[in-house]
Amino acid sequence: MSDATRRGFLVFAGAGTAAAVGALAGPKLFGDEAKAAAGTPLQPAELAHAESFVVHVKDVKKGELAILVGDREVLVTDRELASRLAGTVGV
Amino acid sequence: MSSHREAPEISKDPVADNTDVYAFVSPDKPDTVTLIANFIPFQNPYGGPNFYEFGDDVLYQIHISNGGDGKADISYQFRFHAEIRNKKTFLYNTGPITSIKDTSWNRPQYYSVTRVENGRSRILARGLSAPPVNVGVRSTPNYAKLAKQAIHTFGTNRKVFAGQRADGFFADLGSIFDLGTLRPFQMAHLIPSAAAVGVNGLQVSNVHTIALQVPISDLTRDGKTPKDVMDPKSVIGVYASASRQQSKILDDLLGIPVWHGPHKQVSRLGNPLFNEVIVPMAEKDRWNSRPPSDDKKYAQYVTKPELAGLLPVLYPGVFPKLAAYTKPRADLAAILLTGIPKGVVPGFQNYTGPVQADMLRLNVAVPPSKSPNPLGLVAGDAAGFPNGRRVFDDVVTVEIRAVAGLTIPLVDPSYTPDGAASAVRDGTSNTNSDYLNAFPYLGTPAGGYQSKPGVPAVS
Repeated sequence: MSDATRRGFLVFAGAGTAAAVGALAGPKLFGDEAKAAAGTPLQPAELAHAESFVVHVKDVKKGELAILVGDREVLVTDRELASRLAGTVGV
Repeated sequence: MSSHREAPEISKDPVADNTDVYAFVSPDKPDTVTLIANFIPFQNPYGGPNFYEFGDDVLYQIHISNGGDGKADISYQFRFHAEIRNKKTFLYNTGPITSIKDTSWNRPQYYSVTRVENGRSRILARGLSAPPVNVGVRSTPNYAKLAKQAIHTFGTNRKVFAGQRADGFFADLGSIFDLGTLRPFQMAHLIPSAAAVGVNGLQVSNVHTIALQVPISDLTRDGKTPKDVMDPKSVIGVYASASRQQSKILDDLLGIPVWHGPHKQVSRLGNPLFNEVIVPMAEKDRWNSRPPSDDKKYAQYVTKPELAGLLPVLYPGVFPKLAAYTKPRADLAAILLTGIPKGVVPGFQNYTGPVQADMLRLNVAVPPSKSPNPLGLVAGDAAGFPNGRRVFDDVVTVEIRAVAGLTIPLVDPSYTPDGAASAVRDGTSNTNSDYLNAFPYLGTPAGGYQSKPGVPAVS
């Protein structure tokens, strides 16, 4: 991935996920070892201040995304973002 | 073996590969339990210049299940970080390392210990030094003394050690993996050969050990030190795990891997050889990712073990009674999945309830044996495997004999084992440095300069 594409992806995904997280009633944390962090919903600022984070599109059709930031995983459902990501490959 | 390279995925990730777990009432401090988990198998003592160390990116844990549901009630977590003192050299050490604080050691590693109970974490100690590996007589003179400095005391009556040790596990790997050959019984094999003595495939191999010694009352469900062997509260389940963060990005800007997300279990170990010889290859990786409380789905491989079917085929005419036995192996299910209920072995039990979960089960009310027998419970020594596991227990022989039918009469008195079931054995013993009679009990690791390569043979 070129730098230009990387920056584009991060800006694009960051804006989209921040909006998605903001709209989320209760982010779902899963995994036994994530339980310690359960009950503390992900705040948009956490992503803004993170050095880096990973967005894993788990299911494009259902719009299921996992945000991996620090030692946390937060599931987000955003069909529009998932389809935009899938549809913008190579743009 | 016992869980060295036991599954396809973890065999590619040795720093997270849990090789053995031990749990026993400390013979020299019988008010305590010693818990040991080994990682990083088959360490070549001269494997430098980047010698073996714990993974800074691995979460190592030793778990205690004392509630009867196969779930971890108490977890001890160990997190490591290595430092480079002199960034201008490629050397592991720039001179003799005479103490664990010696600045000539260029790659010190430190760790923290955290106890998690009921979802609450408490850091017990941090900034603890791991020792260097045993490089050789010039770099790490008097290694035993050096390593002793890395035994740390914390709280009251609690000790921890994390560092290189001689692998105390022994097995004739080259023979066993060659179509189940059990030296010295090669002449009876389907493809016979002349009898020969066993060869310890772990000879000159080191491992990295995490050893913890804590009061018994730290581990029991009611916080007491039980004395009644038949009291269910006397039994604890023990297993260890290694976990990695979910996502690894090979960052081309930083030039190093970057990890994100929660830790996911990649290695798990309770009873020796469970994943190794019970679980089919296609399911081993998934088994490593699951908790013991999910083991019910693997019970079918315990009650009808593949190895029990292979023995009569590989050794024609040697195991006719085993070949004819068609009932589910309730003896193995008890030993490996639930513990042995009362009424099976007089005066003994290590039953944790009906939940099937692969864990070592230790009845902490059984005192250390004054005359330990490496064959443990089957030889009348209730302080040994499968009541927990001591460093010297000959678990390969015990499990081969159990699979061969020796333990069936415990639950099915109508069965008489084949004569070979009590004679078959692995044929090896520990040929690494001697076990210690005090914490951390595993012997001094082989030194790089002092050790010699083995003997290659191609035919």
